Amino acid sequence: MAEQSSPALADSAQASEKPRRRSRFALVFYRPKVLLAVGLLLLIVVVALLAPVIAPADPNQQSLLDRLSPPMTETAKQKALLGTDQLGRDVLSRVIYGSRVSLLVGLFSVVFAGTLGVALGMCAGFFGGFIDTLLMRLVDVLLAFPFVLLALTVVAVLGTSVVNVILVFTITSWVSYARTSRASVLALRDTDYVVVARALGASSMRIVTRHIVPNMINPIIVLASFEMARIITTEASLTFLGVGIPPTTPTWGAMISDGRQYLRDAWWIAAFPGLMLFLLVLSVSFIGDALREVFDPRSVPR
Amino acid sequence: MSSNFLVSRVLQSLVVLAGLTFLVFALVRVVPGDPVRLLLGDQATPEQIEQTRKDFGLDESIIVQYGYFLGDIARGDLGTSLRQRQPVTDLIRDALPSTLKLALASIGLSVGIGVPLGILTAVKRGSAIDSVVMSATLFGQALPTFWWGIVLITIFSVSLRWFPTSGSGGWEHLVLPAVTLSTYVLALIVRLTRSAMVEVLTQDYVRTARAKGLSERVVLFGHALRNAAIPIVTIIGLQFGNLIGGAVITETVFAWPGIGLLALNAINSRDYPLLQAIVLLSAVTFLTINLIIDLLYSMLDPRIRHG
Repeated sequence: MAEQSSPALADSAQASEKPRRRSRFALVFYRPKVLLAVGLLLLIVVVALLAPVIAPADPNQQSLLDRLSPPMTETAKQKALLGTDQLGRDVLSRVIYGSRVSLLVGLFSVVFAGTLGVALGMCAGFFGGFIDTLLMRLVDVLLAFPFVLLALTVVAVLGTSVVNVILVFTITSWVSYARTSRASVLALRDTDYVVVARALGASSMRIVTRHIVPNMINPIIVLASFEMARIITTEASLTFLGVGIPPTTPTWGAMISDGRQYLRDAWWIAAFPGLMLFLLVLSVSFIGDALREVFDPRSVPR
Repeated sequence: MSSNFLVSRVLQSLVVLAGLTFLVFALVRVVPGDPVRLLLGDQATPEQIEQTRKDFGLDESIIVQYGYFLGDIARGDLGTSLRQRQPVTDLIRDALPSTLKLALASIGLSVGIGVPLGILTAVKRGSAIDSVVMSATLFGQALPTFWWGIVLITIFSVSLRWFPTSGSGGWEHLVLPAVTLSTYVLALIVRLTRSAMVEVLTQDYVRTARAKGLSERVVLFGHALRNAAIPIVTIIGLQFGNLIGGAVITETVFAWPGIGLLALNAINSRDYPLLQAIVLLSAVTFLTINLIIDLLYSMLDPRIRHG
């Protein structure tokens, strides 16, 4: 947070910081590997949005005559570029549709958990006292669970569906945002410019929205990108274990689970969705890593 | 370190533990699906169902059941598995060695390779080897465990036939699950060791140590590593705690008969007492490790004084 080092006139300081920030951003983001990651993520997003247009077949269309055809086989209806699975469904089309669930769950879980966590963490940091103690003990309790075990237990309670999976990730992952934003608020609450703003008669609401939120948002954005990578992986893992998204929806996790039964004869069923999952998570982590470097005043972009 | 600090840390952990037991207890009781029906099957008569319910104490109110639950824990009795009709402590005792073996192997692998690699990249930061290793760690952290396990099975078991596909037994059974499980932790330890060492290596006392003519080896391992040790020890401890309770995915992929597989089976068969006991066990492990880490801090860094 570059602004933190320039006290007092936060607003004007922020304005004069802008050109330097942009060049830091450019320095980090114009690297080939980061550009590649951004391109890959955009590509997956576009594929997910246009799934009905670009998928060569209905992802749930079974065709038992064509089952377990290897990649590049001419099946009855079309050329199966990535082969077919044990029910004759087109692997490419299922991989394309599967990207929708991964992105949807990742995005919504991060937005909901992030909003909840930041709100609670800021309350705890700003008001302190009993609310703070209660919330932080709750955070301790939730952090003492192994994450996958906790998610498994909650999905088992709620039942499997896309909405429930997002709900599970929201109630299990808000804690890290709460911790981070609480720590930021505690650090910012007593800075000179907040004290000055309060002395000048600024309301709590104004102090929070004008002075605290803009100065704490960077670590939250970095955290959110790493959380997104982790949640996308965990959703696929839960679905793989049979307790995530129901099998009627094409998902990468379920495809890998199907493919696990046919490793000897049909490696492509598990290989392609796994590869896509890996590439998606990889590109999100690369972007997260780049953002961390942009926002960390101590790192020097090369 | 004062005894006051120790007492207050233990008390804090107990408060967290109390909250946790209640959460777990409440959570598993709102699971839809009647465990007694699942257990007895469709053929059971209402009388049989009623009797079984009474046997397990499921006819009492939730609060009474929680009271019994706490009392039993205090006596070391964690209940009887609904599915297997055995004390859950026995089931856990049978599964624990497998999980410990797997956790120790993968932590050993991660630390043994990760810490030296982290030091190397910190010393040679900015070099080609640094950027290759750092990119590799991002790859390692992005690999979905369950898929990575399957890829390893496809290559090393199905095609090359070097290792068995699943189960436990001799050391050859341990190799693939341990590699699968350690990939993420290894990457994490490399990154953390590197950043901790980079931080320390720019400090004045390291420059002083070099200036007074100490060998690079003494500077690195005597001065730098010792001061970089706290974050490294923390992450090793936390990851170990995670592996004890959280190796569900790896254990499932490799049919490794440990706590993780036991937990998944408990969830699928709505085996409350077993699930409760496992969650409790992992939480206690986690809290204990956290406590040990906190105490280790003051040994590693005399500047940290707990008041």
